[in-house]
Amino acid sequence: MNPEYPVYVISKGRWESRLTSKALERLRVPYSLVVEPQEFDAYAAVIDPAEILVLPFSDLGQGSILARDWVWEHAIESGAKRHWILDDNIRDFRRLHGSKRYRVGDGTTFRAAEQFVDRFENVGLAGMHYSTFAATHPTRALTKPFLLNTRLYSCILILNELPLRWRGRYNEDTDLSLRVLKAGWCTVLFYAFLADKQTTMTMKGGNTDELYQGDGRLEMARSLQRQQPDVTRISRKWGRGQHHVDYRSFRANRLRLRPDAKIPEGVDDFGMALVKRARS
Amino acid sequence: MHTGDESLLQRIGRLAIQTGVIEPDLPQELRDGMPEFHNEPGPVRTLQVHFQTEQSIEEFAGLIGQALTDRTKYVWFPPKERERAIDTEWVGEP
Repeated sequence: MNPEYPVYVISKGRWESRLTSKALERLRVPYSLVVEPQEFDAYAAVIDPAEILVLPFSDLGQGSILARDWVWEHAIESGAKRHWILDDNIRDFRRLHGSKRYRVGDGTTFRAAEQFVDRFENVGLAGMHYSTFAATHPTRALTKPFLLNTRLYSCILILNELPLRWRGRYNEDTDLSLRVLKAGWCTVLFYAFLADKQTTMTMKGGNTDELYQGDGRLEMARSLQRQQPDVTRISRKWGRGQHHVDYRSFRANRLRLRPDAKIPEGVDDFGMALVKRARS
Repeated sequence: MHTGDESLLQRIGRLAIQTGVIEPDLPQELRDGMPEFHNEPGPVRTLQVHFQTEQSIEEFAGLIGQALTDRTKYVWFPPKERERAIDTEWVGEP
């Protein structure tokens, strides 16, 4: 089963690794890879050119913001209600259940996430949590399939009608999440559906070269604090700057069911079955 | 105003949620119609056991009735069957 909403992967300088692209191809999930014009040939040499969208600008030194906004407009023009926007450093996708983080073999978790958030009239952002953060805790089981009203990273489902756009140069996903929450919308971060993200700053390409050099982490934290001073503080951890965001004030944002929402009773596994994995 | 006042209780509840004193409930209907999500709790306690000699390891293995190899990092007691998630994957309908 594939997602209903369009999936975009923004990529820069990663035609060799292109982790997310490879992962989606393994799942046979249709997607569009969004690249800058000067890199089209390099990407077209390794993936189907029909899957590539070329941005009308390049090397503006503003991180991924303009590309993300371009994707948003593209999604609106397609008539879709929401769109997925994925970073290009995701190795795999998983389902957490039975205390294990199983790989998935198709796009069903995307579809299930979409159907869940579409029950509500006020979910602005949703997304899959990082697998590393969803390990079962030694003293308590993960009891909730999702976390409400927090930040989304790297694998995000955006409601196209939101009256907001990406901004800034650093921590753009945290900043967008906070603006969505402050406007009264809810966010849904799934524990049940996960993404294996390569650790930030360990891969060539992307924003690594442009933004994260020098004391980039501290500058990123300061930038977020300037944008969101009421909920952000900065500490130094392991000799580098680190931001901390307090999301507690958004716990009162409550999900509102759509009046026409039809929720089947009991479990619906969307036809998923646990099968022996085909080795690639 | 008295402590049993419904609107007061609601305000206190909202405040408790806002300040993180309590987690908001997740009604069952919000889980319905979604893939099953059930995770076993982890261990109630984990101990490090130090062995002075190789013989102690063998004795301990005999006592708990489990094999301890050079690669054993932990054991469950009583033993738990280990399922290898790496060999399987969830696949939906086409």
